[in-house]
Amino acid sequence: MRYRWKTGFWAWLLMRVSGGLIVVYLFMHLWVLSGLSLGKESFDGAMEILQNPILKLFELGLFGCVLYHALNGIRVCIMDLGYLVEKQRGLFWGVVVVGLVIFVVGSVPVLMHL
Amino acid sequence: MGFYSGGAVHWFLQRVSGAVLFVLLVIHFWITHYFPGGELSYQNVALRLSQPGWKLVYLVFLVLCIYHGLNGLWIILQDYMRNDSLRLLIFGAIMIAGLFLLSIGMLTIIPFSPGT
Repeated sequence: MRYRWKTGFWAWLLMRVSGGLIVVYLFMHLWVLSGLSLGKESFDGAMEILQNPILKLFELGLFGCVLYHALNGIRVCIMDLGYLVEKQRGLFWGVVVVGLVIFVVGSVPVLMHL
Repeated sequence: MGFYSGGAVHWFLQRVSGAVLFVLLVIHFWITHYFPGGELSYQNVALRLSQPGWKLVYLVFLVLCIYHGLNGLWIILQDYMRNDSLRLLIFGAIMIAGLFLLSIGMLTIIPFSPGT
């Protein structure tokens, strides 16, 4: 018996990893945003801290995770509806290509401001 | 096994919430990062958060992402727990986390008015 370490497996695994990381971010995000009730100075102060270049890089990481998770999520929904299941590998590479394009295009403004 | 008792409703809602979140996130990303004049300041956020229409959008966003995220987390963790008491404990922890996130979110969004 052999385990199939193929694209389908990696698609599934990356879904879990990206999802888990996004949930961690979600906790932090909602926590920071709850600081809005503390007023302008405190919130703008928090935003200043978040401009740190290292955190900007983490933001790019988040962008990548969300992109993959969302695009593969669409792929999952399409297949759960019964369509294109036999093309799952092609769909995965489509997800990767589209994801990379959007990632590159989207990161440019962020990287320009670093 | 019923749609609800068998857990399939969560399978279904994970996809529905995911699809809606996709749309909400595109809007969210656009507004917070690419919309001209949209630097992330209290001022700019307050412009939206003081309007009832946006409050509603953000509340829906809040509920959906907490559901989708924590349901996803539960799905992952289920594969690694065979002990029933552990399952119950982790499920309880996730529920509490969810209630906590919902609370801080709603307490931020609903009463928000600028000039504080």
